[in-house]
Amino acid sequence: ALLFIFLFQANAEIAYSQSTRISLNLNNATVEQVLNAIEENSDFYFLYNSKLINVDRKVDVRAKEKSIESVLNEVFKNTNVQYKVEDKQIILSNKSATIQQQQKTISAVVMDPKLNEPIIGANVVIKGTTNGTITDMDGKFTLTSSSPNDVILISYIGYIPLEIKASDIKDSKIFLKDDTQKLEEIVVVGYGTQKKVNLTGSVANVDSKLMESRPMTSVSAGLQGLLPGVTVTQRSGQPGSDNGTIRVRGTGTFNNANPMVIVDGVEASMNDLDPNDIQSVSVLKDAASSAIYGSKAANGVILVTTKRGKAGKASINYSANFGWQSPTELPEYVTSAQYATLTNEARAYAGKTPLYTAEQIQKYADGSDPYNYPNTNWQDLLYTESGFQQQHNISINGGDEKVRYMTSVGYQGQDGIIKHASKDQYNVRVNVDANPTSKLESNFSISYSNIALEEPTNPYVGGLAQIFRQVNMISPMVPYKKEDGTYGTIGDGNPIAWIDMDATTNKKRHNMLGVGSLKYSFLPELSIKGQASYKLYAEDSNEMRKDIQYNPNKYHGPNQMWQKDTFEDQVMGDIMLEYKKSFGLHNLNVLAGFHSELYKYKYTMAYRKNFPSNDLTDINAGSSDGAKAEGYTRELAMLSWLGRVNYDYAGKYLLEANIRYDGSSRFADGNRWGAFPSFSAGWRISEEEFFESYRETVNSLKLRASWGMLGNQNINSDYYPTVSTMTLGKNYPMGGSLVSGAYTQYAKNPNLKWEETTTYGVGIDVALIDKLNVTLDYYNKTTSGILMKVPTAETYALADFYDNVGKVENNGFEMSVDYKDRFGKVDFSVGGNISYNHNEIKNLGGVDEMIESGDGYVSIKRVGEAMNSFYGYRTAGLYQSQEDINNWATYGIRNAKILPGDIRYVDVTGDGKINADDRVILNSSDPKFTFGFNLSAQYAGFDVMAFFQGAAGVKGYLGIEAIGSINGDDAKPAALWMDRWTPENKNAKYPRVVETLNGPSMPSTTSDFWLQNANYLRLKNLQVGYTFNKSLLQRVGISKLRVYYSAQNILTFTSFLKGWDPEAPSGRGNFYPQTQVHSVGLNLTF
Amino acid sequence: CSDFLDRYPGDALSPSSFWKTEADAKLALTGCYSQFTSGWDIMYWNCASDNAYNFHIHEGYQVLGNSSMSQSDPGTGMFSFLDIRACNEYLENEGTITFASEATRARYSAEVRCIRAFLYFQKSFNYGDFPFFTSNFKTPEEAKVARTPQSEIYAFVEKELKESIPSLPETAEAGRFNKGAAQALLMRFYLYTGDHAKALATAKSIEGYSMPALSFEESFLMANQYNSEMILTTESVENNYSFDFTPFLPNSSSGWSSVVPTQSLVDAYETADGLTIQEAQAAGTYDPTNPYVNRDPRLRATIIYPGQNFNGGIFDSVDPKSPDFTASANNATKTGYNFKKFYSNLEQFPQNFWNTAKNFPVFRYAEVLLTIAECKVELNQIDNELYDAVDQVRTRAGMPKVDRVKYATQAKLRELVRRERRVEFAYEGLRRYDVIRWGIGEIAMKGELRTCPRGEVLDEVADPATGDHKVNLNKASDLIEVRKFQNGKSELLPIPQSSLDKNENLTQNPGYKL
Repeated sequence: ALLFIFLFQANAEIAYSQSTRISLNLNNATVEQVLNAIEENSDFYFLYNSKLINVDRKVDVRAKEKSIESVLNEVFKNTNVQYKVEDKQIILSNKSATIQQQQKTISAVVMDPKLNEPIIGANVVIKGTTNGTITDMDGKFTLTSSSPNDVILISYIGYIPLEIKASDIKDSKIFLKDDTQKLEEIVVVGYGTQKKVNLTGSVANVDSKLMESRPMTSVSAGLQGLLPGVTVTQRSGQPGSDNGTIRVRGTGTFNNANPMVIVDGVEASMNDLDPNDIQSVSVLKDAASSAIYGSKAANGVILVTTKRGKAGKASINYSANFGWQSPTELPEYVTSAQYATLTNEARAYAGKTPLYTAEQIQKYADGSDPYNYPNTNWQDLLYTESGFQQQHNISINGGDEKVRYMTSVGYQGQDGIIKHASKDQYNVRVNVDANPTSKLESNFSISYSNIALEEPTNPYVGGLAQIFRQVNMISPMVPYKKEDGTYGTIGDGNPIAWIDMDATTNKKRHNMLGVGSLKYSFLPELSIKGQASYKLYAEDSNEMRKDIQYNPNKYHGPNQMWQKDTFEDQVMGDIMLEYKKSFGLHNLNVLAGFHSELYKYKYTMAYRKNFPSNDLTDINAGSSDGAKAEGYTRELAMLSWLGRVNYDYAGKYLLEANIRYDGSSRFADGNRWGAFPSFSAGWRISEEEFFESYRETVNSLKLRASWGMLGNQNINSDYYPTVSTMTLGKNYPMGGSLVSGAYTQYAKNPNLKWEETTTYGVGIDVALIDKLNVTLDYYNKTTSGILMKVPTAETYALADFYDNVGKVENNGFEMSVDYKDRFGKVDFSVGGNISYNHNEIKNLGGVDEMIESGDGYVSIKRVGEAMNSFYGYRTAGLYQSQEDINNWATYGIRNAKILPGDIRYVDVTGDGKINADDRVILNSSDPKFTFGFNLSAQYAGFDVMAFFQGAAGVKGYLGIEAIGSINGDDAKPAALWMDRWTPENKNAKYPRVVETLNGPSMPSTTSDFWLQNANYLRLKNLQVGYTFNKSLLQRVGISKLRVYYSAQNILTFTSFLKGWDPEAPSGRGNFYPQTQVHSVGLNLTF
Repeated sequence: CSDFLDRYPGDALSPSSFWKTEADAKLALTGCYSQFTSGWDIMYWNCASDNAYNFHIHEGYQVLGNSSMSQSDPGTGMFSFLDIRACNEYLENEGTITFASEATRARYSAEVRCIRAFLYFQKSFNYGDFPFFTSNFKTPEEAKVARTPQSEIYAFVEKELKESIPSLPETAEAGRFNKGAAQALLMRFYLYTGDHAKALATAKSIEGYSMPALSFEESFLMANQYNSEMILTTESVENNYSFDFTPFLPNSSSGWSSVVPTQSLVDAYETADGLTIQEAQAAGTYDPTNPYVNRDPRLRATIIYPGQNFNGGIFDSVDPKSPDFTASANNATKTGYNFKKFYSNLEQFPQNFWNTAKNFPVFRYAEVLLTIAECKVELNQIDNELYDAVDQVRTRAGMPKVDRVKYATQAKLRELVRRERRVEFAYEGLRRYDVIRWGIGEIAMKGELRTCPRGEVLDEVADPATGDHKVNLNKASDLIEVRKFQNGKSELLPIPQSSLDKNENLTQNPGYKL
């Protein structure tokens, strides 16, 4: 029986057979078993005629770290079998048999080595001719060859194409290899691809299996937890607005910190892609790997490539997924009776008479008089929908050696968990690659997506956030509807009436991206490539706010409509010259190029009100009286020169240098051009001679180091930050009519330039016992010259004076580990990654700190501390008695009375007074640790996968609107207030209740008491699938069918306040809840 | 290549090609007016006095009312300079403009100087010493100037106004400074700075205005908003520069009750026969449980009180079931009263109350009259001119003329003129200035602020003409807050911490230093 086999493959550049060492220990095994064992655990494959070679013979084989030759010598000693090793291909033949060199007919069976099944429909051609065929139902093909030197090319989707000389094909099995060989992994990098083993920069790429078969409605959110050093936060579950916020190695700037996204070589958005079309996602994390993108790449670069055609039989793939969403958490609030009790209690503290009698409270409690004493559960009235969602994608993939295509059509439909929140997305993609001659290669992609979004609006102030806000706040004592059928209202209206009105904001988005390139190879080592691309984004948004007479006393209106049109396009052109040559063991690759782009943005808005009917949908129907029109355009032009040199010696010593020289219209002449260099080096220690003896356990070991500089010009919303202007629209009525006015409002600084991020790092990649891969990275990323709004004396008077003064440092560690093994017939894998990031502000342009008011909390930027830090008071429990209060420092925060049961703030300065000086940093809303890990197993067609993801060292803050308060009809306390301090309940978790929003213990005074620990661990995705047996499916013409159950966000471990998701944005709590999804789906390939 | 990278906005003017034509001048002049003052500022500023209370803390006026404003929580202040900068910008650049007539040039400049003088005066009054500059700073570094003594700024304001008045026309489009408006500003400046003789002389020089033959309530209706009394108003037009009354209306009329009258203001109104409520109670003509009948008509024209018929319903802030009950709704008045001056009926706004063309008086003739009266009291010139001035105001209001026997001494007349000024200009943003300059902060703005007395609105109609109901307010009021004005500190606003942080040359006002 097979004991174990170690295989170590160290360097793909050197012939596989020379670099591979085999350890083998087999007793009493057949030759076939030995050959199979070698095949299964290495890249070697054997070609032989089983009629000529006796493979049933029993042998004993013992080898430790031996070459293939010495293993085969042992297996076939004392036989007449001879072998020929051609890289990975080993041909067995009989010494006595005469090899027929002029054989005309070639025939073989193409096999899948893992399943040991024939491959049906594989494409077989004689290279350089049109002479070809496909394999039949038994995987067999027959071809006529005119010369023994003909090269036969065998390809099939999912396998590495195989080239084999006609003369080497006997009547035998030909095994194709799976193209997901880890060590041969190709990684997409800037302006090209690279073998993973040759990378010197820090590049993470997504295991595409972890993105498949998930009820994924947003690509960016789908990346969460998959990549070390990449933090993704999903703040909302709203259809169409559920994208993740991505941070690569921490937040490096106070400005736009989003990474640059490149789709198929062109700067584009990833969120309008159909996830089914994605082939690979890689992230360039350090300056060394992203410097080639220059002044836009400081926040990292995410490269997305889409699937492309493969030569072979056309395959048609259909995938479908059906899911149902529900909120991960919903806040709970008190009942009317509880609210009444709390109100009386709060009033008693203030010396006020009770507002509710015991009888009234009883009526609220027993529901006997629901119209006069309602107990409305507003949450229940809002979250009424099942959130059904479905995804379908059909793709066709195929072609031959000269032309290959991949085309797909996709649909995503998503209904919300509230009424009128939905998304419908249609995607079309055509990717065509052609190489009509050996010197000419052309790639062409065109994709279009059409996304229709709907969300409810309201006649009060418009927008969806207001609906969540009011539902959180409105008192349960307000009836949804009164006895006469009219709506109950508060000053702001009635949020469920808004839902009932069917008033919506509808957006339609069109995304188009066309990329075409032509590459001409003058010489095998020299090529020139030209690429042109055009990107278009158009959004048409219509918001119709209907008017409503809620009841005889309450009206919101008039009805009004905003029609907003955004049109963006970008034209890009690239020319690339590439030189690739090996001189002995010296390998050189040089790339030089030029890039230009012109981005244009146009916004137009039309507004009318007083429509004769709420059902009218066109702007013309509104009154021209009070009509408004707005619009403006923006432009950004860029020119760039770029260059890269890759050099390696014998695959051991790797060097890379990049330079990019960018000019941007954003900056004034003189500061317009900037150069961004980078250098990186790698040392594959495991390739050294001295390492040979360790290779059995340490299969591969590589050290990396890099340094580089990058820019960020995405500094604020201003496209003309250096162009001084007088702002129009400063109008004023004179004599009863409006007169146009203007003055200089904004500061412009002609000396502005881009921010510069310098990153250095070291990394190590290790492969152990052929099952375990570990990557470790340390980095330091310092952004200086951060363009920030410099605090200027009020007397300067102009708003937004920007200067390149800020400095932020991020440093941290990243680790990723994956382990694959097989126990009996169970394939098992575990993978995980963890990142730690330390963020520190180094300079704020002349001030030590900037205190900022968030949406319900206070935050601070302070030199020496992390960005996005909460700022407030430390607390020491609750006062238990008046004596307690007397013995504590004097309260001086608000004009409020302190009583037992109030929060005790700590006098940090020790001056006997609690005032603004006692505030301290209370941690950051940016996580220090992010992690993700997955477990998967396959057995006999069944597969199961669990993917966990989480964050640690992160805080959140829920303000008064989320926690609730006692403030009449437009407030209600959260259920947590039932555990409030009273003289009888001194061990309460929460302070005494207080009327109004201004209580000294309310979250409006930012303190650690209300700070939430936002650490979490979440079962992001759980999948159970079954793949039907191939031979069964073949009878009905199907080559693959997998059905699965897939669930998203179904389990979360956190100590965050119950009722709220730990990823919830800090503040008011007025957002669409995060959702969990249970779904079923199938993948079908013909 | 460099052409390709040169991009300019298409929606903003380039200063290099500006400042050439008279149209440019008008644009920039209008820009200065756009920052001058607004009805919003005027009404909210009442909360910084004993006339009104601001419940919604985020609006920033509550701390000014109870004098708890501090360096770190300064409330809504006026420590801003873009308004002044725009005026400086105009005056620094107007020299390159070609005007058809030099008179127009002089007029425009005078208007801008008046706006700037108004701003400097208002800011300096509230902050004391104040950063002062008449030419704009080129860099943020040179803008870090220390505060200039108030006296120097005041001297500048006086000089600017005196120099501007001759260049201004007698009449101008509504919303723009004319001669009378500049004179009224100068008059107010003299009055506030205690120069009663010059204030009196300036007041008497203002010509062409009179008290209109309208009731007090009618004087502030849309239909009459350009009456003979209005010297300078802030302007609104429907749709594109409209005034929204939502923050001010009662909850029952879909408002926010952001600025609500205090009991102390209600109590300041005399009874219809000219007695104070204390005098009337002693005389048996005032019932504290039914306090709103038989009062100065300006009370009903200014304030909505329990039992009043407002906007088609009976305002009932003492009934826990009412949307206007203090504790039952966030937007319900917290004092039991709402204001109504300027919007005493909502039907007058054709587009609706959130989209109105309502203007607000900055200067009106009643202020000239009551300035004449006050100056004469302070100068102890008790004569017919004094009484006539007050009588003109009272007569329009529907009140009896001043009892010249009862109000014969300087002290009694001072009491009368100050009360008259309070009720006449209630809700017009002047009260805090009066409290400060009269030195009555600790009397007016210290101690408990309470709601109206509790009780009930009766079914009985008190006045068939108005439809108002009788009330029986026989229960105690509730405490709202304890106010803590402190002489020597609270007169001035604190310089915000954030401003001190940005300019190390700034100093703090007394009592505010942390």
